[in-house]
Amino acid sequence: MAELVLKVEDIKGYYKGSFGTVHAVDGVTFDIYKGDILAIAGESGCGKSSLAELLTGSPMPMLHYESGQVTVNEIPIYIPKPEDKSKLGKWRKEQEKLSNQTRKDVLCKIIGYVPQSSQDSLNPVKKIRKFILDVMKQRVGTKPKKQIKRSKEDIKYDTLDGQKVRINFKEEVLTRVREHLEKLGLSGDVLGRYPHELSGGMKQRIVIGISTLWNPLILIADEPTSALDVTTQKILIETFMHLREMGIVETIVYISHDIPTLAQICNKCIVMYAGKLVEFNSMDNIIHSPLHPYSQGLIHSIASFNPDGSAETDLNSIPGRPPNLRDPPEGCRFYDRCNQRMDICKEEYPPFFSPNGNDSSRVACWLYKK
Amino acid sequence: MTFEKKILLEKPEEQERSSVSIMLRKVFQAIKLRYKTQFTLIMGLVVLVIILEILTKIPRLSDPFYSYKIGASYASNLPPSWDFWLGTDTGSHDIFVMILHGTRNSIYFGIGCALLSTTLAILLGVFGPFVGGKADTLSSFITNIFMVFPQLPFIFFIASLMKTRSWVTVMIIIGSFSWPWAARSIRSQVLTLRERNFIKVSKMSALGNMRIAFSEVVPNVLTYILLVFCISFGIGIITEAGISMLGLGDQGQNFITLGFVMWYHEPYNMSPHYYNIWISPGIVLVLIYLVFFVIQSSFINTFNPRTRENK
Repeated sequence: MAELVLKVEDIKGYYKGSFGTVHAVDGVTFDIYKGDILAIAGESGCGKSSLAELLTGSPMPMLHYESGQVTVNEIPIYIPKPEDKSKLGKWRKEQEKLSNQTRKDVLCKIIGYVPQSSQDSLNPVKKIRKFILDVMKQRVGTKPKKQIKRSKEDIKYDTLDGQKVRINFKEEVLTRVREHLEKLGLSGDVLGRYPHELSGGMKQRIVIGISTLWNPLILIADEPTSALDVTTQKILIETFMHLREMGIVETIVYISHDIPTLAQICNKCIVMYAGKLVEFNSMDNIIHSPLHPYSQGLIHSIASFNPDGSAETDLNSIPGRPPNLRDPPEGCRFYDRCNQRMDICKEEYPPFFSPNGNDSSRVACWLYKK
Repeated sequence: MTFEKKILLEKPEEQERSSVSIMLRKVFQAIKLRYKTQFTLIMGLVVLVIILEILTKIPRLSDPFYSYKIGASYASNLPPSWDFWLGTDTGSHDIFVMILHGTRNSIYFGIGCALLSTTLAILLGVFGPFVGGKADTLSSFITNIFMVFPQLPFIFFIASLMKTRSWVTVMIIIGSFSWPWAARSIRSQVLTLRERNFIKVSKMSALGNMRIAFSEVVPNVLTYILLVFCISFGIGIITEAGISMLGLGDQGQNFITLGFVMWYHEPYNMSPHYYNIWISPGIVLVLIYLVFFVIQSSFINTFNPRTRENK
């Protein structure tokens, strides 16, 4: 059995604001083993990106951790929320402390995170070099003043790209960064450029390069190919495979709504619907014999072509709309759109069933109740 | 032999001269290459500093009323001539000298005003939206109050209430009333920047609000902030001229500004050459405004990497 690197237990994260409470991620459980390339598929707004943010331990503003636990390499990154409301303030402080610790110890070093639309994640008035040094300061915890001083007592060592580097020395760090970016097929002089001087694919690769600087165990890529053309997509996918071949990252979580892309690189797949996990299966099974009615609908709505140019199957989209996550229904969330619905579906949310008998494929649907 | 000697004699001299000129050219080119994006701005600022330096070299302020009454040629209400370039007024003062003093003091006054109002605008425009919550509400509330306030009448009111008015107090009054429009527009830019992905990412990595505001947001609106500085500078000079023209400026008569020149001669408009007195400060005001417009328009090349010409 491969080594368990990421364990997600019933994680819940809600968006809270003037618009009400949106149950974006509502109880998701899965495990990732070393060497997996896990796909997270689903419609827009089903909670894929929110799940990814929760996995990093520091969700963006508005998204709040609710309950559950994420264990990264045996390090828990959340403190369970207390039942007692009077203890909430103390809990918030502790969680804040833990999140800061997580950012230092876990982010970049164990988990690499490529944010959604990462092309816009670079500040337009900063050179790439400056951005990387900022990330360095943040992750290593060296205060900028000390870095400028470079006093002899303060020399700090860190492992960058698998090699020991004196983190206080700017030149040494930048050489290592340049080598790392060259591995991803970028020339070294990108460091001195501004983001607007680079193409979309290059920016994307730079962000991937920055998030893999410390050779993380897991790389979470949130729709890295969504805004790119097919050729650039191919280059990026090759980049991911290349990263894996060189042993920079072994485990990848790849989030996309684009199932053909996922099918090319992933070996396991999670299908999410309305904040819930509906199916966990191997990628081949998802493509060829999907279990959940929603996965079936998703696969049938892919436009595919035969080599002669004729359409392979008739396009079937799923009728209806996903439920309003501000007030999610009691029973199965796919009930309204399901073509095989039963009475029990409306009353109770289905637990996970394993129709194949082993744990590698799980589906949350009453159809598979024995 | 003599020919060779000649060459030998001439050669080092020539070499020296040429090497110095080549060196100078090289230094100039190196400067131009290194600061190619900032070149217009640097040249503009250098010219401004030189002009101010020259203006400072004129005798002290208390002098023009007394020591510029030059001997025998002195007379009141003289037309423009070679001795008095813009003529003299009824009090026998050289108008040209008064305008030189006025220009320098007006520029200093404008810079002071601009510093004050830009600082206030940044404080309320950048930090409000970033700290969020009550701070944001409070800052936009204050901005709105100042926005609807009738500024000029209020400035007149305060100025006329004060028994002794020095130019510093007038500067503070004008500076603290000319920022709300700038704060509003900086705030609106910051509100759009706040929702960009790179700010969200820096929030996600738990940078402090102040640090995000300073290191991520302010560089993005720096061009605009400097534009605000230039416009506030112009507003400061013009408002001060208006106030002084009404006689509500500095009372000490030691601080001559362009507006003061206009005001001082208002009771003496019997002079046949009165147009010298009010047209020339006006022209100088327009010229100052133009110079700062040129400097301001070079900011966009200097501070915004996206619009920089890379040649």
